[in-house]
Amino acid sequence: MPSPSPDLPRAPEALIPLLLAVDPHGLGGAVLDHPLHEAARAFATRLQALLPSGAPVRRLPAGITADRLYGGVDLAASLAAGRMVAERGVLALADGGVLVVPMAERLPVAARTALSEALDHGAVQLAREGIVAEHAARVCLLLLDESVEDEVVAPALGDRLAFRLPLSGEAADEDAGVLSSWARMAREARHRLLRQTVDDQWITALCETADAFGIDGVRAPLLAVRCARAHAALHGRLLVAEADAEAAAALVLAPRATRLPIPPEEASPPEETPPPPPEASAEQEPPPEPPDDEATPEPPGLGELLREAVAAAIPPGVLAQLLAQLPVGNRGGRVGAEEASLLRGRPRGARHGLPRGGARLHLLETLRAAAPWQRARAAAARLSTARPPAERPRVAVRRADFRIRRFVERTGTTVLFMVDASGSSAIQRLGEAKGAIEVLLAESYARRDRVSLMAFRGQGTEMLLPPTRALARARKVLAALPGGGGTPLAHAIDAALEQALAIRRGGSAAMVVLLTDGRANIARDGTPGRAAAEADALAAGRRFAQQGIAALFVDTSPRGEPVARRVAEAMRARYLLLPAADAKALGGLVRAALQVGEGR
Amino acid sequence: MRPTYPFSAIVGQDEMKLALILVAIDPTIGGVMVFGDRGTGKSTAVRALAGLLPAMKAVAGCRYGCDPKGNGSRCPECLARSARGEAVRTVQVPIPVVDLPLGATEDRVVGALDLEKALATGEKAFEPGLLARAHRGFLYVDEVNLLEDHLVDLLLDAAATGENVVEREGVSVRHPARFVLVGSGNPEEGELRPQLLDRFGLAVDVRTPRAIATRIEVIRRRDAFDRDPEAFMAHWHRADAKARRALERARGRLEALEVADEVLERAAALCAQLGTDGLRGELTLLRASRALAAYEGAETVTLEHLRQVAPMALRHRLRRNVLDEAGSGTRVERAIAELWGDAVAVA
Repeated sequence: MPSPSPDLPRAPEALIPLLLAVDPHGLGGAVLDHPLHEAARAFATRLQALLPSGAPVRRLPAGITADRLYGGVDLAASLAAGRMVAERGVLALADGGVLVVPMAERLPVAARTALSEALDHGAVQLAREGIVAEHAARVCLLLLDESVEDEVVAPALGDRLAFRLPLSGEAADEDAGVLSSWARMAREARHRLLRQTVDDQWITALCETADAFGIDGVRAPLLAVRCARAHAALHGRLLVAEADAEAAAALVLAPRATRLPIPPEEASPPEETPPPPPEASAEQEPPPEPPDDEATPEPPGLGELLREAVAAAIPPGVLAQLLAQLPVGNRGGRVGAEEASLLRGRPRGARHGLPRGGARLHLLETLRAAAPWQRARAAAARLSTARPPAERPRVAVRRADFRIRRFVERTGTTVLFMVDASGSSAIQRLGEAKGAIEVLLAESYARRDRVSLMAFRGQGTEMLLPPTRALARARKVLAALPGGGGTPLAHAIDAALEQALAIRRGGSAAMVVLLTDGRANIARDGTPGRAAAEADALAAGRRFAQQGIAALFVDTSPRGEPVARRVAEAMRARYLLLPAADAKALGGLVRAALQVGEGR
Repeated sequence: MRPTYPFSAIVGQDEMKLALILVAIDPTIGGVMVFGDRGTGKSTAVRALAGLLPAMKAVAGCRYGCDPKGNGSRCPECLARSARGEAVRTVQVPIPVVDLPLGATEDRVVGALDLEKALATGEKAFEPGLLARAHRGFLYVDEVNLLEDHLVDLLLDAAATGENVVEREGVSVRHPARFVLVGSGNPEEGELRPQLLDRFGLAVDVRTPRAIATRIEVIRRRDAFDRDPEAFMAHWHRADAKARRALERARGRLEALEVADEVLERAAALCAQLGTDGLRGELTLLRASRALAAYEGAETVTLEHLRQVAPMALRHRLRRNVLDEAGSGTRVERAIAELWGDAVAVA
């Protein structure tokens, strides 16, 4: 048994590949936070060097289809052999190795479920094109998070990976000698891993620590336990020790923390502990209410130790960002956007047709159509041509057999709500506007529309909810919508237009519902002033009108605002005065307006 | 074959486990929809169920797993065989639990022309799909809310009619496909189509365990399973065997159980109070209570049985109000308390 190795790295960039090399599939992998390309490549290479020799490292191309992930029919081989030949998918090919996923935040739903399946079961089930099989796929994922703005790596996938770390790209310079001695340590640790035991006290401590930091679910503590074991194995221990649990807490739990633990002696709310960075607090709502847990139980001694380790490992500012994100109801859910990337070119079967004019040949379906006729055609060929059998084509395909791929472009509607949350509006009618939106949301739900929420106040606009069908979330977001500040109407119209065009590019029809009292008082350049603001709003409205996007202008002022009416005209939007009646009555009006809008 | 986690070793999640057991006792209850957070062991429970199910009798050599005693619902091949007057041999096979992967293509779900045979011999043969494999068993769709619409339509059609009709590439086949649909999903990642929701007999909510002790136990067992699956399964073997026997006993008792008129009336009144549309809710409620009574070895179906299954049988049938703050399960319980708050204690 080698003594605890003094030369193990402490920096996460170097330690994490070692841990992953000890238990690649059990730990799942890592999310690399906005890595430089070279850094990500170096990370993957280092991990490969530490894994058993011959372990594959594969990079997933962007926009990979489910076929290639799962595997399917090897067409060339099938045709040559005259029988079905299966082809392994990328997941099966990466079995026992590493799969690098660039632009993980844009992964389509189908691909991400395939990856989740591989992580959960170490295998993928194939049920495509006449093949039913199960292929081993014990993969270790490196997700490259290259998101901007509101994009997020799907939590359903990110949660399954033990680590998340930013890559600075500096720590990559260890010489080959060091690397090979680490590789040897990783190899020995892999052998040790199965004989290892974890004392209950560490499982308990890791669970309690996760809870204290507001980490839901059992996945995180489970991964932490596995990490502690890998760490112990690296250090030549058969029994997990305090240092291992501490490392696990810092590496696995800290990046997932959603709050700081409540100190038992003082009952101050957790969000007061980290001062939010100024740029975040200017635009965002006031800090949210703490997560809805019951009171955190009394922390026992071991948990305390780990808690310090976690707190020390949380980079400053991260927690404040997390807290600022919280009112959205959950961290991330870029579900709407994921669906959007699926919309374009989602294959849906095949139909008769010739592969021209951009239509793509569906080879398999073409063969399938040709298959029943092969015997007859072969017989006909024998009669009609003098060619010897060897020169005759193996498979006779006629023009009528051609099938082309059919894609669904979903023409569903996305309703974008742009809500005036400015001071003037908030005081008067924000509550009623919220009521109206709730009615509209229920309406959209019935029609299976997607909805998106944006608010404007003060200096600009804010995306509260990217397009989604999950209306429960929309409601939560709405309830948390605060009011106050000026009315940058021109900004709001510009942003609504930009969003609507983005939605349209995503393949779905867009409709804008603008709720405001029309009292524009912030001009495009951000300066206050009513006259300039109104002129800008009118100009923005005219620009909006040019794109022919269906729009509804709901005037929330008590008696109707002439400016609002003029802006609505400029936008060529339907104008509705929010009546003093209840929201339900408004619902009827709006419904009619939307139907008219759709008819355009 | 990768080892499956034993059903009995699942910590907590009692409502989900009960719902799965009830539909295993009486498949006519319909499917189970499991709503829940990520990483709460939804998939684990469904896959573990496979290990718990007793064997069933099937026609030997039948690709659709036909019931030897099944009258009226035979596959074309069995029909042809009995028309030829061949004797039917029976074999014991495990009740199928079939996974429908989200990436499945339509032809694999419903079945398609056997391409290999067609290319090699020119024979037009039908290759059964996942619906055929799930016949008389369970069809599990993880993240069913993300399933593509055209696949959902196929499932709905088969679930409603109990058979699968295929018209593709010149093959024309109709075969029985009776299966219990088990779906799971996280509603925050996309709502389920209302039509699909209605097809599920029972719906349960799964939450992340709040109590730390529970979480610790979950992780302790999971860790033990990961480390040595064989030893872990051996350890839980007896518990699973016991649960399997209980399930089999309950199936035997089901036929003989009567539901008293009083209970029928109560069930009807509850559905009326909650305004559930259609008879499906009432029927499910009764079947589920009967299965529960059989499972518990009770003499009769009591109000207590009704009360226990009411939330899972009705929560997804309430008039949809997406903006309602209270969970629908709570609404069911509230209605029960209003209707017969004290009656339960008496019964």
